[in-house]
Amino acid sequence: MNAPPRQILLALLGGSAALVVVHALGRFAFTPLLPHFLADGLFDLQQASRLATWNYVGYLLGALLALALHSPARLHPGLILALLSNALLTLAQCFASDYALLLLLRLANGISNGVVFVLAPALVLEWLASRQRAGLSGLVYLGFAAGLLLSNGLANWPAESLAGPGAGCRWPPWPYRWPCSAPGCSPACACRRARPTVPETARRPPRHCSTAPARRCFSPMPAPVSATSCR
Amino acid sequence: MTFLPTLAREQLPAGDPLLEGAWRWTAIACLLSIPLWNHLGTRLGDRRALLASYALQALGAAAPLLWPGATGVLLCAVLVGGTFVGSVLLTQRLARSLQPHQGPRLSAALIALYGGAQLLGPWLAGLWVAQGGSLTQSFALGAGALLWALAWTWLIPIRTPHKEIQQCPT
Repeated sequence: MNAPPRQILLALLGGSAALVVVHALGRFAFTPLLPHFLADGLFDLQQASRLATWNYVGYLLGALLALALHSPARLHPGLILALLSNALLTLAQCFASDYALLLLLRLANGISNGVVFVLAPALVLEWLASRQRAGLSGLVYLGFAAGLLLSNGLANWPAESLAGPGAGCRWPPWPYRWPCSAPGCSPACACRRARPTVPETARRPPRHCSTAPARRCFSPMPAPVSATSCR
Repeated sequence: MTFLPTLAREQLPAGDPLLEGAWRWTAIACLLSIPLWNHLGTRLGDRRALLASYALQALGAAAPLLWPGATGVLLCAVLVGGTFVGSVLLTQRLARSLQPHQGPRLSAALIALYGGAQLLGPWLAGLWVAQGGSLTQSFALGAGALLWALAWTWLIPIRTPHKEIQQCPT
């Protein structure tokens, strides 16, 4: 079975957008922000390492959870729920004022990240393979790479202006809205649109894309541990 | 990679452009590498492309130890950034080509393993720093792990270059 280029592009874009949300912004934005947080004295290297570790633990748990979600009946709802959860958890990190709470948020963020990071590319790969185009599957990760660039810029561009005593608030420039409100931002949605067949789910009745998470906020990172107010 | 910008601060003088640029180079290399590894996997076979990506990644992880300073940091950023997603996508595709009926399940299992291995990195780095070691020294652990992955990938049976596999319902 073959698919028109537009459908393939849509499926790849859907998967890419999901990876931008959960991995590039939800997870890796921590990396360019980390030196700034350390310089601001919000936490030390050991605490930073612990935050990264808890996120990795969540990521591992999420990938294991995805093992249980691989069946057709669970894959789509699981993916959408995890994507939506990740968006909310990433946003919640901006308002965490307690280190222990931040650890929990990073854990939960990692879990939802793991689920999406497994299911979105896997879904796209299966869909492409069924159309003899598995060789394109790696391109689904382009969005993730573009998101790394984006996270780097958004962490460093306002860094100087946010340094100093109020540095705990260096993340307020982050509440940009990720323009994912367009249909197709969810790989599940994209693959549905790119029918006629979606692997393992082709037997399900088609659903409208309005069920997909409609938008995505991002604010990348661990909230300031000691900040009490924001300017 | 989590500690790359922090490593740059440890190794480079204040004002060095790589202090902020290291992560940017990582991201650029990552972006450019994805079509490259996707293409190499299709052309050379996923196994051979994966071997190459692990070898380059190990060199990148070792670069801050071998060439401390701007050269090492830049090489680390470019080589690790330019290979780590390639390793993921090639592994997923290679696994699926070996077990076509188990695509999503294999992806989940592999990412879980990947996540477990990634978990060890920051934890070990934290332990090392807590014991008085430097962050730079901890990069040796990453290089060692990548050589370990290279050796295991070498043992995968040689297959013909990438072939499209028809989706089989599970």
